[in-house]
Amino acid sequence: MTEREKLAMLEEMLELEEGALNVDMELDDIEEYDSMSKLSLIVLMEDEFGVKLDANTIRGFKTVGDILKLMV
Amino acid sequence: MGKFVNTGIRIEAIATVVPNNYYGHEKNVQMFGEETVDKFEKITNIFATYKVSKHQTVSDLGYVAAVEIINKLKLNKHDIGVLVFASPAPDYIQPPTACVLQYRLGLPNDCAALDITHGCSSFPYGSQVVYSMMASSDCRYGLLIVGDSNSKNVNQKDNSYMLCSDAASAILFIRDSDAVNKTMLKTDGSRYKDIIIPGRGMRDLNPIDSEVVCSDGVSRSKYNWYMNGMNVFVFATRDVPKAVKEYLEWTDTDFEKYDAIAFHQANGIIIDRLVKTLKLKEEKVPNVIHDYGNTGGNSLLLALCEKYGNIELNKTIEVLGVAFGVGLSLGVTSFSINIDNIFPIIKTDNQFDDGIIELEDL
Repeated sequence: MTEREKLAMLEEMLELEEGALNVDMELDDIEEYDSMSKLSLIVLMEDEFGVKLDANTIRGFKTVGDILKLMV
Repeated sequence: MGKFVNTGIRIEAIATVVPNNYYGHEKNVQMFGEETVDKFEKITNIFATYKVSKHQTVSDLGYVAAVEIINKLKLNKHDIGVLVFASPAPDYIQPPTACVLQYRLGLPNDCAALDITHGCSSFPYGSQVVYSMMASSDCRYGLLIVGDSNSKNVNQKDNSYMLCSDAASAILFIRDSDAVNKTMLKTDGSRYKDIIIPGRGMRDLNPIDSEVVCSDGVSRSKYNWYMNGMNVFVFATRDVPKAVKEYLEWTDTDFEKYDAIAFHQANGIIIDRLVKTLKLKEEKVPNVIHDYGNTGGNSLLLALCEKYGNIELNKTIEVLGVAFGVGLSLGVTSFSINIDNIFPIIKTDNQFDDGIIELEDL
């Protein structure tokens, strides 16, 4: 899966327009990345990548790229 | 450990009551704005809740539910020897709410009445206490009241206000020499902070009622309910399925045995995950989260009352009940019940005005 495809998955999850995200963006600056969307992220990572995120890992994410690193 | 086998006692009837005070989409939009509400509804599948009024309590709702059972089954109140009120929402710090209910319901002084302060897992915990107390006594009936009024604790600026709904159920236990129940209870107290009201207990009785912005960006005072949504989600979607599988193995049963698999109605995304993880047939899983929100400890019973309450079939069904929440704690239990004794949900304004104490009256 390409970087762009992974970004597109996150954009769909956050209901953002295509191309709205890039890997360097700080998550704190993305208004849509809130407590509810973090639950969606747990589900997406588990279903699509078999990655079981926990709260500490999510709290450690600083940029969009940090999430992408686990989308393998 | 944590596994209980109860013989000679079974659940006979369930009644559920919610307050009249209805909070729907429009009210939420007024409070939180369209965008926030739309997103909340999409993830939680909660579109409506019911909230108690200022002086209305869980015991008022539980009272109405208990009266419904007593009247419909024409019980002799003097045969009720155990009354357990399992709820984190007592009327007072003292006395136990069960004592007030014993008086209001007109139960005999021979009735043992006590409170259990569990929350969302209060049904299996409360059931186990009733089973155990009845097993070592000769009383004919036991009554369990479970419920919550979390809307009183949640800060009204917290999105969780749209999640929290108030309700109570009454559950009647009777003697039956053929009955066997198996209940499994678990606790992980290391996660006690994941759902907590920090103030008003003896640890911090009278904290300043000022609000602070917490790490999730929500303003709260110490009197407000806090939930670490991510941690609880992980608990509900990973620990709970494991526990259900452990219960099935212990009881040597599978999902085919059960007509209804009733989960605590936490929110839509959690129920969906449980259905998916455990590979359940959706039609076997009562899901009323859309219309009632998260009512806490009685929610799986409310779901049964909504699904079966208006059906008269004289048919006995097997129910697997799974509850989880504050503690953190969880419980899995099962029971058989005649559908005709699962009563329709009642809405009420009932309120025990004598219970509002003025110091001059003491």
